[in-house]
Amino acid sequence: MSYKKTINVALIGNPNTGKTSLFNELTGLNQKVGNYPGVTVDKKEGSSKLQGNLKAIITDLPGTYSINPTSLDETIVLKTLLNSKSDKTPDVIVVVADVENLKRNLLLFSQIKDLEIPTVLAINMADQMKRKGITIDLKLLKNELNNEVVLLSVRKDPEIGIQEVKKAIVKTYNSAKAFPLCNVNNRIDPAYFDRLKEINPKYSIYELWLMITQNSFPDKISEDEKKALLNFKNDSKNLKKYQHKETIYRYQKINEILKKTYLADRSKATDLRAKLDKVFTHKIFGYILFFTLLLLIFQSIFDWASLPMDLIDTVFANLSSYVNKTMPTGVLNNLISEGIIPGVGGIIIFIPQIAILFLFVSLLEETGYMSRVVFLMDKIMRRFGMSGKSVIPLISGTACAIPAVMATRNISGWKERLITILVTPFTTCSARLPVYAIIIALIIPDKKIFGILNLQGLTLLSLYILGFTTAIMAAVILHKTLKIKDTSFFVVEMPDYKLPSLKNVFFDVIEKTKAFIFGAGKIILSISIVLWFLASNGPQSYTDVEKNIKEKIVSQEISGVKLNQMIASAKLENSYIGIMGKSIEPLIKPLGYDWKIGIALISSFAAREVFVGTLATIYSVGSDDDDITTIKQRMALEINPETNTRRFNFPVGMSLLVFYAFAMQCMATLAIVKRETNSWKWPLIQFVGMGVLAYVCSFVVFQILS
Amino acid sequence: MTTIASLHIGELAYISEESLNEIPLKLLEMGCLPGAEVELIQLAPLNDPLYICVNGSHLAIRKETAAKIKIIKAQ
Amino acid sequence: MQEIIVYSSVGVAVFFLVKKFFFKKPKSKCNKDCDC
Repeated sequence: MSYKKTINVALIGNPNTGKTSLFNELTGLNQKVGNYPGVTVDKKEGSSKLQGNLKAIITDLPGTYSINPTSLDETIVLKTLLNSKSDKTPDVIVVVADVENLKRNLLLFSQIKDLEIPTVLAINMADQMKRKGITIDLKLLKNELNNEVVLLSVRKDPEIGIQEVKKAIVKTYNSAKAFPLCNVNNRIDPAYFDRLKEINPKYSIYELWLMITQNSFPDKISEDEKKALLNFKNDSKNLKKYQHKETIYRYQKINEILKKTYLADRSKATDLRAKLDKVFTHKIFGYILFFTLLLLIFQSIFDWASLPMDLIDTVFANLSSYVNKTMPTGVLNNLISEGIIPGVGGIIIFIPQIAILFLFVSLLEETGYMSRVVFLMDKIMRRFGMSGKSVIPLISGTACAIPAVMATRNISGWKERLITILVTPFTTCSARLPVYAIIIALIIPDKKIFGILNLQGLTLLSLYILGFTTAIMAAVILHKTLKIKDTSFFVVEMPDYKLPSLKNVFFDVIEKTKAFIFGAGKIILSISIVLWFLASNGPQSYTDVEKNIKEKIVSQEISGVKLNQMIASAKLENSYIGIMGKSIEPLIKPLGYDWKIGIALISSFAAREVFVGTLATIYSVGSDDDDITTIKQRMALEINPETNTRRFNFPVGMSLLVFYAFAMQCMATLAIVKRETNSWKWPLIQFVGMGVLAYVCSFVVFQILS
Repeated sequence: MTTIASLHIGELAYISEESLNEIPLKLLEMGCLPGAEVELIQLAPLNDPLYICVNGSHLAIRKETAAKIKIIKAQ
Repeated sequence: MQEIIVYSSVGVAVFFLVKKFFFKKPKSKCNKDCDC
């Protein structure tokens, strides 16, 4: 008879201790990422078999240096631990530390111990001990800490390490005893803490202390109890001083213990970090290296992504026609083949670029190089109202703004983070490229200047530079005008360099790609469906289209294919979206556009690159002929009835390029901004601000050039 | 006033007791304690941020923070 | 029959978009760092 039991285990630890590697080894593919209710912090959970019939749900809590939070995700750690009487509480906590930073890691450990939750200390990176001249007396350490301690290397010996950790978890769970380590209250001010304990004996002293210093209370606490504690807090003037003292006493205790059990012989250490840092943080060479790396990344994204993207394009186009021909004709057929399948295709096609970008970012983070980038770029970014940590979102924005905005979560100052979120969409994302490509092909001659620089490539590069420059300028303006406190406190750990763990990178890329697909995907799909509906339905004139066309061309010889194209184009013109396009025509005429371009602009709200496909439909270019040359040729032939010259001439083309560079058309990005800023105010400002900028600049460009 | 901001690259010093109230709690928790050894490893252009090693932890902090933490230079 | 499926899908899509854009999350606690 098997009795299965599941316990809750939480992983806590400083960043860069290999906590994530441990989590990945423990849970493997059984992990999933969700959300903490009400906050934009990822909740990572997975399951793991511990022993026999004992299973564990393992939660990977955000990395933190102390239980006292200074950012949103560190607050999650505190809340999880303070709710120690609820059923979501961890039964056992594994504090992950590393051999080199053990002293600092133990601060968090001592805080957790004082909460009297059963704990296991897992000291990772044991394989580095020899290289760094470190020796640890494990047995004595266990004694001194009065705790299970495991020394392991997740990288070098994962199987052994994991077994040891699991054994320790089970042992700790079964013994169910937990003792505070530091008892700092006795050293700081016994009388004060005794009074605190009297206010609410249900909780341990340290819990009460955390409640009043952090203003964070367990869910189950009553209003009266809360009030009592807050009153006590208001009567005490020494909170900050006591917190400082607490930290100092903790370290004193830690030093005592480590003196007996831990030895670091610097002379034996090989200092790879120092050697590499001399190069990577060099005042000149550091920057050269970084920018070269950036160029390499961009180049790789383009080179590696184009093949999969073409493949995806073809697959979905074929799927669409297949479904169209196979399913019985009718609205459902149209919805699926013209609305849903292209909509889904429009999401999937970005996966190669996004995945490759995340691959690079993840690799750079895993090796530890990213901290050096933050170090190099912080001062410059601060000039523009952002932080060194804003570099990653801005770079990521060149693939897609959605994961870039999500990546701003680790920027600790709210103003810096907000500004980064607001300006990131200015960077040239990959959805703009199909639009840029076709317009450039139409209006820029395929020539070389100075013998080597391709004019078309140069224009594309200028558009990229335009995007970045506008982002920076917008940041400066926001920095000066936004009335928000500058509360940022900047500390970045410079971890030791290490070879990236491919397993971690793999899981990380999958996680982030999934976040993009499901976050942006639903919105893009919904908008695609709505737009499909608007494009396939219309008032009476719409339903009469087929009849009208057939009447008109009764005398002419037109092939079946051509006739269908004419009907499709006329239908679009008379559909709801066509009417919308016609109604905004007066508005966009000063920019050089007509109602046909208007329709394409509207449909870009689903995704910018839909512009090209929409124009193809409007100009009756067949859907089997999605070849860009055909669309390009057709667009080149389009005549502006008022001037009797090319519609897509140089002024109009430039105006369109500028419009797409600045306008906030991506509804999915707006939705993510709303979620991350927790209000509709900021996405609205973004939408209106960028829209106005796009309109004005396109207007100016068009008027000047024509 | 000798602070971390006035260190030269490779120079060693000790955090002075006087700074206790000026050190942000978070830095304290990361090991930047009075009496701890601190070394300047690298400076970004315009001397901001500073890459230091304090009490065995390798960190980068901004100049405005470093300028608040008094030190005693090692002889 | 087909019409019902199609129109309800469109309806669901519209409903979803409106919900996503116009409703504030009811349960979000403003934490330390928000300043909102």
